[in-house]
Order: sequence, then structure tokens, then C-alpha cells
Amino acid sequence: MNQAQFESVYSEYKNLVYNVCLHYVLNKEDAQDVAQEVFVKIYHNLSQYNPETASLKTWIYRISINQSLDFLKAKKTKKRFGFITSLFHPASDELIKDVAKVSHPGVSLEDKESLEELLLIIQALPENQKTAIILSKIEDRPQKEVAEIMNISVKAVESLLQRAKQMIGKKLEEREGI
Amino acid sequence: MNINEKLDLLKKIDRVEAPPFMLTRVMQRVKSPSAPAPSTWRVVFFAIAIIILSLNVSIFFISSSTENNDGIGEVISSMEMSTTNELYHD
Repeated sequence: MNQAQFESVYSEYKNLVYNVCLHYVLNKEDAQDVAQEVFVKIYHNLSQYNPETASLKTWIYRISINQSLDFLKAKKTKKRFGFITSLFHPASDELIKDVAKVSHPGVSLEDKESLEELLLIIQALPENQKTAIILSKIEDRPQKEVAEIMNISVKAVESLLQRAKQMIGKKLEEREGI
Repeated sequence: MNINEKLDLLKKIDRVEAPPFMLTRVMQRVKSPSAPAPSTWRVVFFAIAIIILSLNVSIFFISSSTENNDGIGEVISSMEMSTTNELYHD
């Protein structure tokens, strides 16, 4: 694959990839790492991309979502090991640092508190619900496109959104109750 | 505030520009192939594999050459048991 071809794909989709990664990982350092991985994958697999199965944008969305979800899984595993380590080394503050590391640069100061709380609740949702909410509510994609990206039906997207809303509402009530 | 109003807050999240140095980093990653394992690690791995294999082989030969049934024979004779499979001594 030639570099000019890749660079044109990069310049067209760099912001899309970076923003999707940001919505999942919620801080710019991790989002940069994940976005880089996404572009390395795009570079290596662009020759295998089949335009008949999905548009390039959908394909790039899928890679970005999968890479972000993999990153979050790896982080969760690391966190568990961190917890075990902290049992043996009580001075370790790895967990505390991890919680404090939510800083989405797209969030303005006036909405920072409520939006970061909401983003943390979304991050804790099951993977499919999280993706449906991120794509339809943050990325503002129409449900048909969300269904195409997630490779499911529009009805299934509606159902995922409904369940996600219920869970978010429940979590918000719990927090307000505290 | 209902849940839909709360979720509408998400639309206030601004799109962010990707960092300018990202392409350089991606190209660096793409052009540098993944480094092979250091030669010392490869030698150590090979040596451990050989040791485990030779241990297995030596244990197999030692156990097959020194089939020691003396202990079992002693138990059988003390319990007056038969060493054949004949049940009714026909």
C-alpha cells in the first residue's frame, strides 16, 4: 500500500478516529495511543478492505470501536492485577490515579461535573449499549448508520438504547440518592 | 431532569482535533517491524527445552530398564494371592 494513499485516508479520518477513541477511554493520552493503533491496523489491512461489504467510514468506525473496547478490557485486567499488587504493597496508589484520570478535552468547564459523571456511567455499561449510546448520542449518527456500524438491525439498536437509558437512569438515581 | 434531557447534555461535547504529531508516530510504528526476541532469550529458551526433553527421555529409560516387581511379589505372597487370572483353579 502506498504512503500517499494512507496519508489521504489518515487526513480524512484522523479526527473521527481520535474522537471515537476519546469517548471510550475518556482521556487524551490513552486516546492518542489507541488512535495510533487504529491507524497501524488500517495501514496493514487497507488492502484487504472490501468496499462491497461496508463503506470505508463504517469499516474505520468498527476498527476504532473494537480497538477502544480491547484497550478498556486490557485496562480492566491491569486494574485487577493492580488491586492484587496493592494488597501486597499498600503504598501503591495505582487505583486512585486511575479513577482521577478522566479528562475529556471536548467537555467545557461549565458542564464538566455533570458530563464527566454521565460519561463514567456510560463507560460502565455493557459493550453493546455503550457503543449504541456513544454513536447515537455523542457522535450523533442516525440509527440506521449505528445499526450498520454495529452490524445489527435498527430494532436491535432501539432496544439497546432503551436498555442503556434505563441503566443510566437507575445509576443516576442511585447517585442522587447518596 | 428526565433521562432524555440528561442524555442531550452529551451533544454539548465538542469535537476535538487529532494531535498533529500522530501521523509521524503512526509512520514510525508502521516502518519499524516488531523487534525479534533477544538472542540471549532464544538461547535460554532452547536450552530449557533441551533439558526438559532429556530429563523426560532419561526418566523413561530408567523406569523401563529397572522394572522392580520385588515389592509387589512380596505383598502377593504374604496375602496368599494368585499371580494368575485363574479364578476357579480348573
